[in-house]
Amino acid sequence: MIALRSPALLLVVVMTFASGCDYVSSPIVDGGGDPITGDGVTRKVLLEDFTGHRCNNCPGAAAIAQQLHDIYGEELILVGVHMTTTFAAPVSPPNTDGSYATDFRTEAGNAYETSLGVSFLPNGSISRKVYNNSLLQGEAAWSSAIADIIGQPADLDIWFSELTYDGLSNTVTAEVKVAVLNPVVGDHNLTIYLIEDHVVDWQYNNDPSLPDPNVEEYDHRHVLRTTVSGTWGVPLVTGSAAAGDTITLSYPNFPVNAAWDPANCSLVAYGYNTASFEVMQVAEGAFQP
Amino acid sequence: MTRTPVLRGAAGALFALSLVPVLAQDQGQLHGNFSIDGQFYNKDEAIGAVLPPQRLASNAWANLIYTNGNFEAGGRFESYEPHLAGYPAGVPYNGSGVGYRYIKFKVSDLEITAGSFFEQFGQGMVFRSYEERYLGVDNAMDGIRLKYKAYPGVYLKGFIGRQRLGFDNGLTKGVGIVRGADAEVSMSELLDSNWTSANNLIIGASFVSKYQEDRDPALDLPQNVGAWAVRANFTTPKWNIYTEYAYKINDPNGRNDFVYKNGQAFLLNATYSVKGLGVSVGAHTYDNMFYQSDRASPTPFDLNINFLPPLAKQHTYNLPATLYPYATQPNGEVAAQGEVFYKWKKGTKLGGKYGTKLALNYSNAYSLDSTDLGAADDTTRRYGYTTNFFRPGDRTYFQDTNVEVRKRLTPTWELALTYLNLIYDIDVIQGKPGKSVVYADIFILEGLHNFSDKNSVRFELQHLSTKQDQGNWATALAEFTFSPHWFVAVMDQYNYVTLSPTFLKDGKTEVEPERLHYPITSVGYIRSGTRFQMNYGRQRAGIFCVGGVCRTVPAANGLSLSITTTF
Amino acid sequence: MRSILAFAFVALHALPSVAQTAGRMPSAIVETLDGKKFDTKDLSNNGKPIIVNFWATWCAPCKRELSTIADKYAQWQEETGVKLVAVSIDDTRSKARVAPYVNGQDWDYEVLLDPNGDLKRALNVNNVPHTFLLNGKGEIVYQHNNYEPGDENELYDRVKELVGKK
Repeated sequence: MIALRSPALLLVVVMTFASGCDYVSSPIVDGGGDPITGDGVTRKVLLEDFTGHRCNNCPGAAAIAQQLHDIYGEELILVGVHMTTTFAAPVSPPNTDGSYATDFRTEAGNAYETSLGVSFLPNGSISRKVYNNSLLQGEAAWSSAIADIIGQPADLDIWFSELTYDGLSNTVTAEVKVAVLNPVVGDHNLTIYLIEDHVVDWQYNNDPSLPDPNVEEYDHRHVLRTTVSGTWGVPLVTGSAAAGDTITLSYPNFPVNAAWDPANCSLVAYGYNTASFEVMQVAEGAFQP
Repeated sequence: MTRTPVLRGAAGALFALSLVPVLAQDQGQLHGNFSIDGQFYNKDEAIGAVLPPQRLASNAWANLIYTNGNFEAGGRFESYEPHLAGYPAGVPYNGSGVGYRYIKFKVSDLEITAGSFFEQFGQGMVFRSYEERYLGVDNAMDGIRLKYKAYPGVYLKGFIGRQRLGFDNGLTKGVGIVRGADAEVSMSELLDSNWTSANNLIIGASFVSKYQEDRDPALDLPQNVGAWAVRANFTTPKWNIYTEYAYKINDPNGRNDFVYKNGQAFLLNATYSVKGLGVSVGAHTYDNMFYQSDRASPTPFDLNINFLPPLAKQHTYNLPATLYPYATQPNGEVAAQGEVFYKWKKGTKLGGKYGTKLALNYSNAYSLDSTDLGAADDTTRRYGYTTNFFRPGDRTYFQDTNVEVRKRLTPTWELALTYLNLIYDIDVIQGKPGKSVVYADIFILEGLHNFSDKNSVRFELQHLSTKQDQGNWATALAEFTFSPHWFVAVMDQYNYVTLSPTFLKDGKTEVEPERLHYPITSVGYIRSGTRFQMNYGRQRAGIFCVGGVCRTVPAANGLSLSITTTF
Repeated sequence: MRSILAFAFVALHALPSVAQTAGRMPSAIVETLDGKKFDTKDLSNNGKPIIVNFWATWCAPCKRELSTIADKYAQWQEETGVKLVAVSIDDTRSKARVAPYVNGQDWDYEVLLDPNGDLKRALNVNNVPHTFLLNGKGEIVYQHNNYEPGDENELYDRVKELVGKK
């Protein structure tokens, strides 16, 4: 009686039950996790880890970023962008032992926080590309979002034709070359980050693999310190660019802050589409390889 | 799509209204509401006030519903230019556009909804799609829903669709597909003529499942994850007993570190009430019950398929409600609550001339007793842990003992006295690691005095004392109302930290941290269904909770204006 | 922002010509205190006025309003036959508390539960307390948001008007 009077409802009920459950008995995929290889220039992926020294779930996310770097090697470039007053600013009122007194925020980080609407950490963005309808990705989505982009043929090739650090004047001189491999349409900008790896400072922690909830000497990786090109970069392509074009941008004698250790510093350059903010290619060069 | 916003808005309204003469017989009606919250932010470094670069932010919503006989259509227009600071808790809302739209019609006992809808199965432990607009929670479904009254007392529901994720000049949806069905039988209605008692037994069962593609190279993730629940509710004129059990199969997700363990939830509630006395007790246990339609959803607030109610009293007074509220721990908690409401009648010894009301409440929450399976091999580690389902673990998350006595003393004076004792594990509940558990005592005195039939004043004095976290707080509030249209309120909160840690300024001088006041004034005007309210002053950083879902409200200083109207 | 204002502007100005008919109680499924389902379009009081008041156990002004009216309710019923239906929007967190609270306060109202906000949305309620007054034919003739001591007098004046007019 019921079935005759509402076939539609019955159909939904049956469909629901039939499609319900995938029990998995062996979670690990054999031979899973191999990076994709191919010929020609491929797109590298920029993983921006939005983090902060007072965010207790962030060490877990940073560990995931490192694991992904171990899998993908040079194809994946990591940057830790410390942002938000709640998580990256010095603790207020200050602690008597001087812990968490560093201000990790940067002008660029603050601008990205506002434009991306970041309030919950840890968070991240994979080449600033929308994945699963969101620009922001929790660390659980990084693996799949990266797999979506990495290894694909690239339209741009970026490299540092010159990157020298002068210890006497504490400046770095860089020349970035961008080669257009396939025709490119739309305005593109080039942004250059200056990042410092292995910054040792305090960190709140929830990750059981580290002993303390307050880690005094935590190894902060790939910390964004400043931008050489300005927060939103400089114009790279205006309107369109034909295959075979090469663009060169020079940054002579950019001052490096005395507090940063040049042995751990590098520049990250990426070209992005200004309409969609998607990063089309990225390159990294260390000060002292 | 990219016409000017003014034209787009006017076009939208005219389109909705143009439907009316086409479809209307003389019963067609169009009603709706409008709400806007605007805020202008001032700089205030002393409290670490948030200062968005736009300086002015607003959230606005307009709902319209058209009904005509068995047909209904509606929609909501939303605007965030930009959204208020700290709102929403999950992925950001941005721009203006349509965030919700649906058509609904009834064909005898079958109701069909196409488009956006909200729905709940049982207590919501396997499925609840709802909105709490001022909290920023909205996980509306977008798809098809069918509701069918198969027989008097037999109710069936089914749906399929995707959930709302955020808002970017329009609705954005999560990637997972969610579908479910629910059946409920109310025995007294079903057996109507044979059922002569005043008691009733209602039983129900639901099944929900989600689908999301597995693109993970290293793990074999289940693409279809199902959860089911059964419930029973037995009622008599004095008693009401409710119980529900839910089970979820392996659901590795970003919130549980991708373990393949199943999830379970159980709750039990019993209430006894007669005139003048009400008693309620409840207990529940949750294990691994985060259920989101995107297993890697950006935050714990997005794309939740279910809702796990906390067993803690929702306080209305400012200090306990915004400093130390309890939020459900879906990955594992065991909780219990007991409550008594009693009224001493007029004329009795304790009742006095007008009666005295008493409310007692005790609630607690513990971690769930679980044993890690260890990392003997990769597969074992993936299965996570085992639990003893009903046993609380050794960590107390929360304990709240409170009593409230309310009494009218004279025809123009009424007083209420409240005492709370809190044990609050701020490390787990608010994610502030390393901080010790907060032990707090709160005293509140509230008084209401009527000057005349139309004018009255209400005041509150609240005091919180604790040796942890921010130290002591005192709040004073006075609200003057001039019925039926006006009210003016003044409030100040003072953090007179008593165990203040001194700190070294410039490494040399010892300085005490500033003791801060947070004054704020409000003015409001109400006329039938419309309300205007303006606030000016300092807003303390706090937590705003509705139903166990909390979002942090950042400290702010400035002017805010809100207008709501229903028409 | 501009589009939403335009939308509201046009809608609000065009409305009077469209919705001259008074609103009726929409059809929404709510629950009674003993769990039975009830369709609100069946709400009736034998031709006498009905007050539909939205409240919640966590809403202090709502509880004040219902307590104040409770002292006068018997007299109101005697004089006008009005019925007050208190619709609680408590969700599953505090739903269990409603019946003990209502009884602990010794209220005589008819209480309905709207745990997922279906009736609240159907009537376009923004926040509680929100009160609607229905005349004998089930049409909404008055509504009021917020509560201040003394508002119940304005409400009762409207109730008396309805009964006096009849």
